[in-house]
Amino acid sequence: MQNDMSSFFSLDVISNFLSVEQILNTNEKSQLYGLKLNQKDALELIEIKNNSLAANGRIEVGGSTVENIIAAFYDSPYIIQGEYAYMISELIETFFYMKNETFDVIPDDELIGLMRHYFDNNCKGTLALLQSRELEKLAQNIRFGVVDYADLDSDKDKEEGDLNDINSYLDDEDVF
Amino acid sequence: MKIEITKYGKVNPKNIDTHNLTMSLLSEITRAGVLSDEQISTIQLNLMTMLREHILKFNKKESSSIKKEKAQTILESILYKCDAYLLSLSNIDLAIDILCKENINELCDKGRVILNEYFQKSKLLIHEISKTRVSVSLYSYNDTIDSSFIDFFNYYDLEFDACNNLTMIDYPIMFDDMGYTGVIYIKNYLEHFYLENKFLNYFSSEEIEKLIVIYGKKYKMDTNDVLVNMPEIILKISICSVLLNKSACDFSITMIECEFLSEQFKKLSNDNYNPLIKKAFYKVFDELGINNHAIHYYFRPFIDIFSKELIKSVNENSLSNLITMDN
Repeated sequence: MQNDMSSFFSLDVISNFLSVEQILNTNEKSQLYGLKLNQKDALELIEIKNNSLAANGRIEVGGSTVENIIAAFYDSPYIIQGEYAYMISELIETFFYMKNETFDVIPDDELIGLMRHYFDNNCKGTLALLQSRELEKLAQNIRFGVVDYADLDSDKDKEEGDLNDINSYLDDEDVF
Repeated sequence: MKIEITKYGKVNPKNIDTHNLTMSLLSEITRAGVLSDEQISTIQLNLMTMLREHILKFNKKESSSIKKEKAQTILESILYKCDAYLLSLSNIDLAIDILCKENINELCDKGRVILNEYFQKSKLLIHEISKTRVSVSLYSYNDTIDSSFIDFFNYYDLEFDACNNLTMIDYPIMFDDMGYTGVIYIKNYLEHFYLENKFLNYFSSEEIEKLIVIYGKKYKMDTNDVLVNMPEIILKISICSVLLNKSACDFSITMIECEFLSEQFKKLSNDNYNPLIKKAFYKVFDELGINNHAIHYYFRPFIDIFSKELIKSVNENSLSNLITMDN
């Protein structure tokens, strides 16, 4: 079926067209937080989005992920103008990677919201921690069928709980 | 559906695949210049819009992107529904007319109605098959009736995974077009299975069971594990019995009779096999009193198949291997 299909219709044509203007329009609000993208940044973000989709074997059909990511992050206290375009490009790549890693279980808005939450709170703005620690844990929770998958502290609580149990045991019993 | 094309001379019927009708037709009529550039763009745009809508529906509007493989499956599901409608038309000319005039969305909707009917018909068929089953120990036959279609009836997804029939079928039917997929394949398979069951009901289950045991012994297989089409081994031996002036229900051909038959066949030219087998085939059906046209029509291609097999086995002195007989 593939051969006949590709001669008449290709899936690649379906992906959303994202214009430079759409990206630059986000400056209107982000400027309030001292962040701004220029034309070159916008072109690079479009290229990064297209490459990320291709690298992760995905196509985009609905709303604009890039605009949603920008909208979710421009008021983060951990993003400064000098790193703004780079941060957004990394977040775009991370987002599409995570969509696959979490088997599309988490809706876009929720995933972007969680990324922002972990970025600000758990990682204090460190992108590497978000990518390699928090989101990996999130993906792991999804893979293991954890109901409250967004709660990345559950193991930490459990470990701390175990430690408290041991301490109280040591306090209560004269073990030595 | 007839594949001959009269109205559109430049369209090559060899490039049309009935298992992938919509896309092969679109490709071929584009190549043949039947569609204008504007028509091609309109169809592509309609298909793209439809696919987008389907993907958003699949994602429940919660995700704007999708894995390419899944998008491909969804696209194939849309085209599968279009195929069902186009296949229901009498000929390719009409299918081309409709592809040129109607919106792909409408084709898909009409195909959906047809496929839903096929699904309901398949449910009825498995019920009828279960009612008409012959009492034999053949595992593949019984398991196919009892278990193979459970997942299909529970989980078949016409909207987003229409080509996947979710079944593992062991029992081989005589004529099985595996080029079809999804509910079309299942409906065809069950229709054929039902006709074969009706044919088997003209014979005693005990005699069929004996034949399966002999077949299993011959190929050193456990009777339960034998993967064989029952009507095929029955028809072969019935036709040979009739040619020996015995009853069509007499499955006990001896080695001497087999050698006699082989000698008689050797006297024939290759062209004479087919008429002889055809005559014997009808004699079998007459003797059994099979008047059902659908059963006749279904098994008729067996005449050509068996004639060719006979020519080969007589030339190789291996007729005793072709028919199931106790040595």
